Amino acid sequence: MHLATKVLLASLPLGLLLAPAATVGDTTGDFHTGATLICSDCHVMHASQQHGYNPDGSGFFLTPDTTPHEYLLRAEVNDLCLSCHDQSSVAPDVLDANGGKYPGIVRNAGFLNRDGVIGQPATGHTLDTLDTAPGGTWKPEDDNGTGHGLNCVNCHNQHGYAGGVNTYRNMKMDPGGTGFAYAQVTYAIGTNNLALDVFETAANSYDFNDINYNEPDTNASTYGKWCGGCHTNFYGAPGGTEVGGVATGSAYEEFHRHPVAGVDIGALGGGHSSLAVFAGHTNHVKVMSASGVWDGSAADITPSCMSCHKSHGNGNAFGLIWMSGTGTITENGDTDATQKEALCGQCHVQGS
Amino acid sequence: MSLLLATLAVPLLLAPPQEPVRPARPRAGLGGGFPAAGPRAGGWHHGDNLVCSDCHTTHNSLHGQPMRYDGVAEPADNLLRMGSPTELCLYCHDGTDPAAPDVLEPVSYVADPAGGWFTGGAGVPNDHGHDLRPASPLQAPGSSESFSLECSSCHDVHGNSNYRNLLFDPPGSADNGNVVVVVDELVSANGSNPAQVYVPANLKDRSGMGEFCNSCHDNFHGKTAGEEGGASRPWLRHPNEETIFGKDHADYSHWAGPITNRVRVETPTDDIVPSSDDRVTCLSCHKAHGSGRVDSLIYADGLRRLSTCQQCHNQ
Repeated sequence: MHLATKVLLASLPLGLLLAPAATVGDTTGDFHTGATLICSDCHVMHASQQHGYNPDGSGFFLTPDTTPHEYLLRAEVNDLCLSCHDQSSVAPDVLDANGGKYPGIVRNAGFLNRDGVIGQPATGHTLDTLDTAPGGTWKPEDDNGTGHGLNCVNCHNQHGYAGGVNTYRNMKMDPGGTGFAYAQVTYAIGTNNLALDVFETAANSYDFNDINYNEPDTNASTYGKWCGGCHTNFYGAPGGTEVGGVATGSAYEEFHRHPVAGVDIGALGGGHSSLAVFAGHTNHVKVMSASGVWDGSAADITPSCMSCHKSHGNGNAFGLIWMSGTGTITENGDTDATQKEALCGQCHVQGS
Repeated sequence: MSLLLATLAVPLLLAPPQEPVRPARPRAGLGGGFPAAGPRAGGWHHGDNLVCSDCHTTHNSLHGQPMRYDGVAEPADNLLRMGSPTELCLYCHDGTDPAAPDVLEPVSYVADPAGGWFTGGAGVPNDHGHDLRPASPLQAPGSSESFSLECSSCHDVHGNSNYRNLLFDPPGSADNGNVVVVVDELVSANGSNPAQVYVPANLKDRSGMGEFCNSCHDNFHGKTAGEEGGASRPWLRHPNEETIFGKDHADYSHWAGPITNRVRVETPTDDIVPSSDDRVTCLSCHKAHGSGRVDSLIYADGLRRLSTCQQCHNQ
């Protein structure tokens, strides 16, 4: 073992004890963690089950496949997750049309498609795809093994995190094999905490209107960094190699990739972004705010990955959010938008 | 020649059935008064504690009255004092005899008997454990075979040197009668102390229980692709006889911490639990007879099956 590795491993327990979650809040993922982490939801000890877990044999259980699966799973990962998370009344739906537990909501994360099964492959994250992540070198087979494409647990920690470690949606802290605690996306439920990355207004809410994004560090985006775990070149500080940018006064311009942190909307004015344009819309894309005010009435709002893309995807290419600012909000943006440029027009003055 | 053969045959006929040799095993750090390894009786109904008349009656007659416990005048098969082996066992082990460990729900002699209990008596179906004398044979989970379980399906009624007189050749076994279950106990049965003997705290599981259970539940134990899977790949079924220590998906530091209601594990090389030799076994999650929980599961905290999983996994 390399000395550096030994040192790293030796330091891990201490690092765990000092994990930032201990100071920023004790909220773990809304589900599949703590008391809602039900082993038998996903695992079956002997690849055999004829009845449920209630004393009379009743109760919900997923019939395990007749062929045993590794890790004692009841089915392969995506099939297993989707058995509850696709067209099932027991859990939020994440694949294609929303027929799940909350059918009336606009899913903040949008929806996935599945390679060769349902949906269009260019519309967001594609389950089972073997493709390399755009902007990076990570590919699903790196984590899942040869022939195994993108799956749910590449992004979500299926067991949550023990010890009260706070991660929004059980998002993994090491996406794309980035290593221990590369990005911990923290969140608050019910009452906002500006020191945390995400504010969910009510527990177990997946609705667009209930999710907002704080900006604890005005020079960074933990959420953006998390996406950068796989999409390596798409996240970085202004002026850095990933997004570029030239310092102009207290702001930046001349980026070579769109910034996803450290740039307030309207900071430079002119032909750049406009706070007034953003504030003038009725429907707003998601932005980060250090003060917890997201409608453009405060000058501290910053775009990040979630401003333009649904994390799961939607009906548009790249999971882009076509949001004109008026009409009814949908998972694709809003009903008045007719082209992707509506999204750019959320912040930019050109063409307006 | 004929004389010699005849001479040889006599001792062969008179020799008791040969029992498997209990294997020697390393015993580092023994302490706490647990007996040293070596052949011993199964606890009761063996050796000096095997009392023929407890179970048999030669003529079913004493002073003109039946000797069967149920008072039936008709003699029973095998000279038994009840109509069937299981009914006979339950005559004493149903809680009415304080000297005999109760195996039928409700159990009152201890709160947590090591073997658990059967819900209902013979012929009463239940999902909480093994069915005694079901109306028709039941397929054992993990097996294509069906069985009509009696007490004697698992226990040698005349005793042997196995733990709890467990059979060396349980039904379905392809082990040629060499299934050795090794469990040491601090206090041995003396005919009046079930509350001290038949409790988890009195026991140190060493080895063999997985193999015993596997005799009927064929696919649930073993390191082949049709069973638990191979050690070089993620498990297909929950492994048995694998240490908690050093496993990627177990949290030994949690197991070694201050856990309450700790489940049973095998501790093959020392008497210390928790320690690095602790191995998960069937009885870590299940009670042998039944538990009042579905599938005879143990809820370590008394409320949730998750609490049992968490003792080792801490997810």
